Amino acid sequence: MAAFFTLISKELKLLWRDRAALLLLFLMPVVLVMVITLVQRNVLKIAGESGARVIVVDHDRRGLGAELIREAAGLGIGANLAVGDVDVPDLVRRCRLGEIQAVVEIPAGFDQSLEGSVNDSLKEGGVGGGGSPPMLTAVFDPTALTGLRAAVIGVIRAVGGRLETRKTMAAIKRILPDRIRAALVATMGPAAAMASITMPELAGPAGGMVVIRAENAGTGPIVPSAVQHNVPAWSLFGIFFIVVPLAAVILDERSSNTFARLLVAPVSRFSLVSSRIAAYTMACILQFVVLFAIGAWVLPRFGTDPLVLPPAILALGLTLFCACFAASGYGFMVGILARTHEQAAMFGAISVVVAAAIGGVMVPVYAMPPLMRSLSVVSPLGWGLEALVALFVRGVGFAEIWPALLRLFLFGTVCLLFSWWKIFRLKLARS
Amino acid sequence: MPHIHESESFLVVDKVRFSYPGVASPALDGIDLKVEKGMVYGVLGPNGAGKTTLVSMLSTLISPNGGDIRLAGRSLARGGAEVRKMIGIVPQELAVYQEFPPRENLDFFGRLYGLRGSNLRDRVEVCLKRAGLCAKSGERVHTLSGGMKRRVNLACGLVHAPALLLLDEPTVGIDTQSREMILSWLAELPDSGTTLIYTTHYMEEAGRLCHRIAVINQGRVISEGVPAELLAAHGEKTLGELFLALTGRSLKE
Repeated sequence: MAAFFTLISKELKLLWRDRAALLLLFLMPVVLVMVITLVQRNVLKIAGESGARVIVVDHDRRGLGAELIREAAGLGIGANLAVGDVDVPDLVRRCRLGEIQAVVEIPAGFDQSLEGSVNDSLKEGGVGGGGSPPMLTAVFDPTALTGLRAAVIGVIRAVGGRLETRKTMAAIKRILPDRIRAALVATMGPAAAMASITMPELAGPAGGMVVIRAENAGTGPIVPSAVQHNVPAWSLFGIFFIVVPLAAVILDERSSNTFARLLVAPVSRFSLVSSRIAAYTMACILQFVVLFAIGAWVLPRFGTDPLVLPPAILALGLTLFCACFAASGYGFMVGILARTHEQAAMFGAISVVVAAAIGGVMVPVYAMPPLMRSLSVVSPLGWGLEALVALFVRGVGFAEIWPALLRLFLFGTVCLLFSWWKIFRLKLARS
Repeated sequence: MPHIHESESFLVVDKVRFSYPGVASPALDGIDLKVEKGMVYGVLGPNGAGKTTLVSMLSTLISPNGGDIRLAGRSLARGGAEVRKMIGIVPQELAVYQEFPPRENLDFFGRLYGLRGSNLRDRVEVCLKRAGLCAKSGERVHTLSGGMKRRVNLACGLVHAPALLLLDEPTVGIDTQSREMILSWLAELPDSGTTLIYTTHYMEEAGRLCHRIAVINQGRVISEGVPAELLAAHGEKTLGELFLALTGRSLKE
């Protein structure tokens, strides 16, 4: 055990003395987090409706649901209609987990309620009825793009407005003859039938009766924002850059034969590998803490919302560990596989950027083309992001994120086992 | 001539064979060696003869495909950490951490071999002093001269006072003063019971240091014995001439 701590101490000292590595690990993610978050301060994202899943639940069954679907299709938003015995809480739960981007609910009796409101508004003097207003509810995935939210609400507003106008016109048609007749008799007497007719003043302009309530799917105290999304996402991106300094240290040891000196020392191979992983995992976790602190205290000084830690702190700790373990394992593997520093730096950095891109760090997965969406399932950064966004934005807990954590842990383990096997082959090659 | 300690066979290399994966000809083809405790044993041979493979095997870095190696009566293959503690290695390359000063390198490798407390501090001081590095003990290795780096490399292999020290061309590419210091340090080690396996291309070093030498070529021992006896037996005046007589004058690579 003493040798294990000696090795950890050595790794941390080497890292501490590598200025370039420290800049890469701490300054680069800090700059990324601050720039990206501030750039996206007012919008989570600005486009990307094409891959979104929208469900319209029509309890009223009077045709409004189908009309919403048609209107949405006209804007390129794919939406499905659900009628009958629909489990709305389950849909909302799926929405919270990001499986669906929006659920629009048309309550039973909506059409009748709207008609009542129209009739009330047309009463003389414009005094409306006392009944509840006709309300449509739109529940959004907490990470849904602003553009998508605006589009869905726009569709509801357009379709609702048209329906309201139709009902208003029908009501006017129905009551207008009586109103005209009454007005003529009152002012001109029975002979007034021959007089010219003017339209009476009608109270209540068409439009604006349908109330749209838009909300996020059960995030509790967490308010989805650029900070809640970008700080964890770009922190994750930053920690995977541990691959560059870690691979460089391993390459140094290999090229100088220090690695051989370590291998012949009376220390288990497990200690040699695990101490390195432990040291770099610690560095990664420290990196996360620094970035979270920036999200919580520095970014708000630039006018953003502060980063709010999720309620599931234990799950967050586990997520950080799994992400750091995966990143360190990957870095170890790159260090063992690469033959030169240039190879390690280029392959390591580019692979992390690609994994971040297909994993949804830059653009949400659901907003990607189908091919890229299918590729995203193999990105370790995608798994880490899935877990972090679930905690930071959706406000869920361990039960919802454990599959992503398991994938991260297995990825790190596979990388290490592969490296372990490769070490023995390298030994032969070098001798 | 150096004095040979009276001792029992300390290192036994018994019919050792080794082939690299995918290479038809064996790197070591039935090597037999017996090395007594406190002896400096030179392993000479042209490039590709199998010297580094033999050193890697003696250091436990690789295992033989056949045969056995025993150190102080214990098989290297089964001896584990206890046997490895007895071995020190000085690779041809500078196998130290360039970002650490000499003192930290020695401290790290000493700890790795189980040294602690005053024992560790004493060994670090002894090695720094003997390597002539006290004045530079706090400066990072990458700032030191080539000769100093070589001395750090040697000190790291000796910090845990190994019973068997494996040296793979430890004086390549250094100035005369540093070479003299290294050779005089190595010459002292047998007096404290340390056994040295020494590979080199410098025949004068082999003649000056080694009690016995083995000339290997194509993975086999082609001649073995006390240098003076070998010279007499082959009618050669110098080890260089003997070497060429045994391994040929044609290029080996």
